[in-house]
Amino acid sequence: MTFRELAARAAAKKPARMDVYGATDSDAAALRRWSEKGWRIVQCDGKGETGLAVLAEAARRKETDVLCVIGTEPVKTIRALERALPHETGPLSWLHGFEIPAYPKLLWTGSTPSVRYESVPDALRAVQAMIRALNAFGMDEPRVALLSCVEAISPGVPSTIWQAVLGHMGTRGQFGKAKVDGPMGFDLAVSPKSAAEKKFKSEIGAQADLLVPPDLNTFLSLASALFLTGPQEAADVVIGGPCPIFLTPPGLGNHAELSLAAASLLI
Amino acid sequence: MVMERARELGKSRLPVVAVAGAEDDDVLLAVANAQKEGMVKAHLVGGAAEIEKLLGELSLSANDFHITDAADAKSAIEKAVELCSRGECSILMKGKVPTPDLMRAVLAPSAGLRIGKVLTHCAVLELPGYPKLLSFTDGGVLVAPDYEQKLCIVENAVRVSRLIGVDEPKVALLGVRDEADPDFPSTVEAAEVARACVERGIARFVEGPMTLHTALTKSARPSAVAGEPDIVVAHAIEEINITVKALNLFRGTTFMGVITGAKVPLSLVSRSDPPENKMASLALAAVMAGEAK
Repeated sequence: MTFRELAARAAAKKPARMDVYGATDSDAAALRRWSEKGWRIVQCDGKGETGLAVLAEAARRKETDVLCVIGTEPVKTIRALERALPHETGPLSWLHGFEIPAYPKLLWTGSTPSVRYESVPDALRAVQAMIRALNAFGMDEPRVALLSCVEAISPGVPSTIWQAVLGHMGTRGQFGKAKVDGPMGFDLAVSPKSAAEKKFKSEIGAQADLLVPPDLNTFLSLASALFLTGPQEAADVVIGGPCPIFLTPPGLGNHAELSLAAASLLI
Repeated sequence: MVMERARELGKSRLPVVAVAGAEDDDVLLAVANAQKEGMVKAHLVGGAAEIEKLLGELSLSANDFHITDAADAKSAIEKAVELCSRGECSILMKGKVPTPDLMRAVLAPSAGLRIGKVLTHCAVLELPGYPKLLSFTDGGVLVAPDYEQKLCIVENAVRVSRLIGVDEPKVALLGVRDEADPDFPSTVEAAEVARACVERGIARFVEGPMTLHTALTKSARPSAVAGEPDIVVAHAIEEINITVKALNLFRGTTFMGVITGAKVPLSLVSRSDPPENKMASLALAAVMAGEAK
C-alpha cells in the first residue's frame, strides 16, 4: 500500500465533524480547504491542558468524529488527552506512517506511551488495536514485527519475553489474518538480504508493514531515524480514544493531509 | 577521517588484530583490505584448512597472514583472547563466532582483559548530511544500564571520541521529552546523569533529556549540544540497536562498531554488515589501539 492508495480510499469517505486545537493564522487556508470539502470544523479556543480537556470532552460525548491537534509536543499531548478521557477509554496508541524511498511499501511504527508492554495482556491489546487500524487503512493481512535487539528469546532482554508470547500467538494464527512475529532485529523485519544472510525464517518475510518497538524511547528514536532517511511522506494518527486523533505540525501541509486521510479511515 | 588516522598510526607501529573465527568471506576481505592499507597486521584464528580455502577463493595468499588453527568456535575464541591477553595482539575482532560466547570469554576474570572498567559498545556513524562523526551508545552490551553504568557509557564514548580527534565531544542523553518529566522516569534520570557527567568532569558538554529529533535539530533554545552532538546515549540497548540499524539500512551510513573498556578494543559488527563496515570498524579499533599505546 502507498499513501496515494490510502488517500484515495479516504476520499471516498464522507467528511464529518473535526475539532481542531492549536490552529493559528498559518493554518487558516488549509482549514478553509477542508471546510470546502465538507468537513465541519470546530475550533477549540482553550489553551494548554485545559484546551485539550475541552477537545477530549467533545470526543467523549461523541459530538465530534476527528480531533486535530496542531503544533504541540506529541508525548505531552497524548498524556494530557489520556488524563482528560474517561478511564474505560483505554490507552492511546500513536502510529507513525512513512513512505521511505528505500522501502517498497508504507511502513508504520506504533507505540502505546502509557503502557508497559511487560504486561502481556496490555501488549496484546495495544498490538491488536494497531492491527485493527491497519486493517481500516486497507491492509487486509498486515505483517507485524515486534522489534528487539536480538532474535533469541532471552531473559536478559526482558522485551523478548512478551514479544515471544505474542510471536507464538502469531504463529498459531491468533491475530486473525495479521502475521505477527518477534522478537527480531530491525534488519530482519525489513531487509530480505539480512534475513537471508542470518538464515532467519519468519512469516513476516522481512517485509513488515508495522514495527512495534519495545518502548516509547525506541519508538521515538526509530521515528526520528526514519525521518532522516530522505525525502518522504509521513503521517501521524493516535488511536484508542473515542475518535481518531491526528497530530500535525503548524501550516497543515502534506503531513496533515495524509494524517487526516488515515484518521478519516478510522471513523 | 578514521581510516586516514589508522593508516598514519600504522606507519610507526602496526597493531596486530586477533580474529576469532576467521573462516568468513566478509571478515577475511575486511581484514585483508585493512592489512593492505597498512592499518593492521592480521592474526587469523579458526579452522586453518577452511581459512586457507577461503583465502584461495578470494585470490588472497595464506602466506600474508599468521594463522592459528582452532578446532571449533570455542577454541578459536579462547586462542584469540589469549593472544590479546599475552600482549601479542592489541585488537580483538569478532569473526564467525557467537557474540555472547565471545563476550563471556572477554569478561571472564581469568582472561586478563578486564581493566576495572565497564565494557560498553559504541557505534560510530558517518551519517550522510551530518557534518561530523556521530557515536551512538550503548546498543550492544548493557541491556538496561543503571545510573552508574550510564556514567560509564558516557565516559567510554567520550574516550573513543577523543581518540578519534574530538577533544570536547558534545553528549546528548536521549529521552522521550526534552525536559525531566516524572511521568517518564527515564527523563529524570537522564537529567541527573547529564548533571553528574559535568560535575565529575567526564565531559564538559552533556545535556539531556532530549529526543533524538531535538538532538539532531538546531534548537531555538540555548543549547551547547542540540543540533551538533558527537555522542548520543540511550536509556536502553534496544533504542540504539534499532535506531542504528534503521540508519544503516535506509540512510546508507558507514558504521564502525567497537566495544571499549577492556585491555584491547573489540571490533564487533553484525554478521550482515558489509565488508566496508567491518573494515571501518577495524580501522576504528586500530586507531584506539594506536592512540592508547
